[in-house]
Amino acid sequence: MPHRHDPCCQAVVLAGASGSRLHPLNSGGTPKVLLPVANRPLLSFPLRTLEEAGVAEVLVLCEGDAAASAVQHWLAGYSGALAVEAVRVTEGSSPVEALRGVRDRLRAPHVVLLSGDVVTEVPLQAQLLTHRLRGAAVTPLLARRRESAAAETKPGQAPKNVDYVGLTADDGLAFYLHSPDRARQLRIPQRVVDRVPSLTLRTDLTDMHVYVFQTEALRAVLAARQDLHSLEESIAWRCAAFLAPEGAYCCRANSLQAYAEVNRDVLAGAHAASLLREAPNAKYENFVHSSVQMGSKAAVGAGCMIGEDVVLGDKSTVKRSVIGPNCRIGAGAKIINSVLMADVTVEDGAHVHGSILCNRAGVGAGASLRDCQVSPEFRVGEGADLRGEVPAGGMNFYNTGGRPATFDPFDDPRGFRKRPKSIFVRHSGKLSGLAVLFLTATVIYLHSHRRTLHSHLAAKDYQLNAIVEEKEAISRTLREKDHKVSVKTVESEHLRRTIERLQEEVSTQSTRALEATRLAEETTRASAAKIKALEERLQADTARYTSQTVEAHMARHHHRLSMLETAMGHERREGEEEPQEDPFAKLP
Amino acid sequence: LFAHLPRHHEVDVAGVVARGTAAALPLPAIQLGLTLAQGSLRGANARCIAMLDVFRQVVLEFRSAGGREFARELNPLLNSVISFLVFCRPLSVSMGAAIKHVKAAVEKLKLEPSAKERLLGVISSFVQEKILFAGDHLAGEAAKRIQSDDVVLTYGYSSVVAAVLLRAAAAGTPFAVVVADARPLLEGRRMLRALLAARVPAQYVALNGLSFVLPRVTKVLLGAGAVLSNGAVLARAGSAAVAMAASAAHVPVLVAAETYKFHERVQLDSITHNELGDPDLLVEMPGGEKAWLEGWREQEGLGLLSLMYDTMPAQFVSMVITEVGAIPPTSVPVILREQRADGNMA
Repeated sequence: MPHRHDPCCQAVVLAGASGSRLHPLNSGGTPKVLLPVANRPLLSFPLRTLEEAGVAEVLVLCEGDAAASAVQHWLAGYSGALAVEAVRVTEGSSPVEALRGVRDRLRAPHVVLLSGDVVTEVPLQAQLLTHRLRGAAVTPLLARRRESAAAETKPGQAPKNVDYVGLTADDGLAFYLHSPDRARQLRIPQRVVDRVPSLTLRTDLTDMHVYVFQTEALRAVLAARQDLHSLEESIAWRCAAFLAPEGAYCCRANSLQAYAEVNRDVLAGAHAASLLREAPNAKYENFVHSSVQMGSKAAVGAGCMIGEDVVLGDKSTVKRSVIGPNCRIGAGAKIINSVLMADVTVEDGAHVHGSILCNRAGVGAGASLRDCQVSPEFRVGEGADLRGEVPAGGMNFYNTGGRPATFDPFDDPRGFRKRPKSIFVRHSGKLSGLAVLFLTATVIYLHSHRRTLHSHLAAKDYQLNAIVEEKEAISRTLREKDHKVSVKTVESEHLRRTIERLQEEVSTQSTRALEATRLAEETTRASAAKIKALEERLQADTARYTSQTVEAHMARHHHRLSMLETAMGHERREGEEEPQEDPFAKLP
Repeated sequence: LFAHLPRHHEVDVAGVVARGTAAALPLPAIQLGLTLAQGSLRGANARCIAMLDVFRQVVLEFRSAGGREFARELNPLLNSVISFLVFCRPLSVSMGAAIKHVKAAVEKLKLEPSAKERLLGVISSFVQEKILFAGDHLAGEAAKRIQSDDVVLTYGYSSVVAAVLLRAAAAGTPFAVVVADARPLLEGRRMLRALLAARVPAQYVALNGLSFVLPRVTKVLLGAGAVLSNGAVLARAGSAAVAMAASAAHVPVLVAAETYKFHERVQLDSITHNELGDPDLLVEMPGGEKAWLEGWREQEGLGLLSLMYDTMPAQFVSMVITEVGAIPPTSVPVILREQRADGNMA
């Protein structure tokens, strides 16, 4: 897709770093930017980003003649739409001096400055647009960190290797500080506080080393300040910060770990489409070149890339690795999480795990490599078992199992050796020191208290004997008790039988009692009947008697009445003036 | 009901880049598009002037092969700019009128060698005559109609109404203003600020408090986004309610609009032609109150509707004040006919 060239933009790619942190990958004379990532040079990724943004001219600044010529040689075969030129910069110069050198060649109103090891899928065009819309002097690309800086530090301690980014409310960059060590305090200049009404400090952003400058401003600063400067000191300018969108992949391959990670991440399905411009094999999700010869039962997992003319032996396994062109993988070999550059030979049965093997390296049969970086043209001997080492050395140095490899100090002047170590190895010094301390402490304690310890022992022996005797006594008493218990059980049996007998007697007695009561009841009933008969007779008698007396009474009354009546008849005839007396009142 | 209107979508730099045409567009156009999309630039006159400014810059930076090919090369560029602006925010009627004018000029000028300068002249004359001078004249005319001790009710912010009121205040007439306002845009505050700066006695009332103030109001002065052929007036959402309430209270409603905002279409309701605004603006409650509508997108069956415009029928409008005079709303077709005649003649 042809991109319209944006005449207002030029690009400068800083490819000058010698990559000392990537030792020994660059010990074969390859500059860092030409190291293969997914079987293409690292430099091709920033170039593709620039091409998509429509930048017309690109200057690649390389440090030293060797690097410059290597890059030029590669650029001769570059077929992109950019006008790329490799510019030689004196060795050992900082990025600022290199920029100063090419200052005169910057003609466009905006210049993009990026590091040669940036692999990103963030569209540079959006960053350019933001830069121009905001009218900023510089717009850096800030990406979100993958894991928080504080994840590996103890609570209460400041984290290491953190970028402190101060953003204003409308996404302007007001403050920036990169602190590789623990920063106990952060000094924010007064002019920053005066200028911005509100400032948000973030530690979850990292500087991706992709900057868009206004050329005028850049040139003015370079001319004005002859001393070294870095981005932090340019905050007097108007800086707009461009935050990478969520989920966009951004990484710099500037350390061994980052290099290996970039190799793997670029092959992941989500990013492959935008970063590689190639679609993975839909069924297996890996990139296998058509000229690869796969042995029987050779397995290539997802997220792998295999270059051209690679021969995979029978039953070999490749998982999440990148294998460069013309490699030979022997039968039964296992390559996991590794990066193999061109012309590497891995013989039968070798295990390569988490390692990086440079050009023309070799691994002998049955060798096992874990977390190693093998320098170019070095051959690891058969049966070697290397963990976390950097087998290095000159050409034709063969190492068989058992002999240690020599280490050339000039290959690693800074002493950087960023190898992933397990937690015990990382803290092994501390752990061993602690262990030694603990042991000496116990020894001293024991020595000073040895007499008391002896007496303690004797006392303990005596106690032990006493306890044993007690134990025997107790067992005896237990036996006696058992005997008693048995006797008691016999007695109880006896008692139970007597109880049963008594119960039988009681039952017979009770039946007899029942009969007796029944008889008694009958007799009482009979006597009650008799009594009733007698009572009736008595009642009849009394009734008769009472009726007789009443009749007698009545007869007497009648008699008296008749007598009275005759008397009254007499008295009436005698005297009728006399008041009538109640004759009955005289009666009782 | 409003499915025929284009949905509101967020526009930002990433979206613009993803659209793919960002490389071809001149920077001022992108800047204007983003400003319009964010809502920092509102109002028919302001948007129209800004767009014409962008056109001017586009024409200035345009380099063509020769005068003959001018229109053929410029038209696609203008179209791309216009479509980008439409993508950011649908065009207003005023902008449409300006575009029509500019395109007609481009068509006419295509055979001339000095086309660029003439086109620039056309654009600047449009701005000067139709917008700025017209607004000025209109302000003078309308300010005469504000008498002493008038209480003028207005709604939201309109640059024309602000000009009228400030002109009347400068003339020394003692009058008071009641500014009605409604969420989510709360443009009335801008009007209030302008009036208070000019020391005009002003009262601020929410739209639902209209019935309280109407008894004291003597006239209503509203701005317009467009005046349509049947006399209906398209204005900020809420103006129709003000006009209706005022006409029910027998208060005259005056609409101030330049003639370039007149449009031939006929609209009877607020639904057929309208613009959907940002629904999330309805969620934010001023004064730090809790946003009850916070999770409205997840709620099933709930949609937020934020309309930008509404239409007041001609029966509620007493008079439309333009730079050519004060006309009843039924005479709008006359003005349109005259404009068409002018366009044909020139």
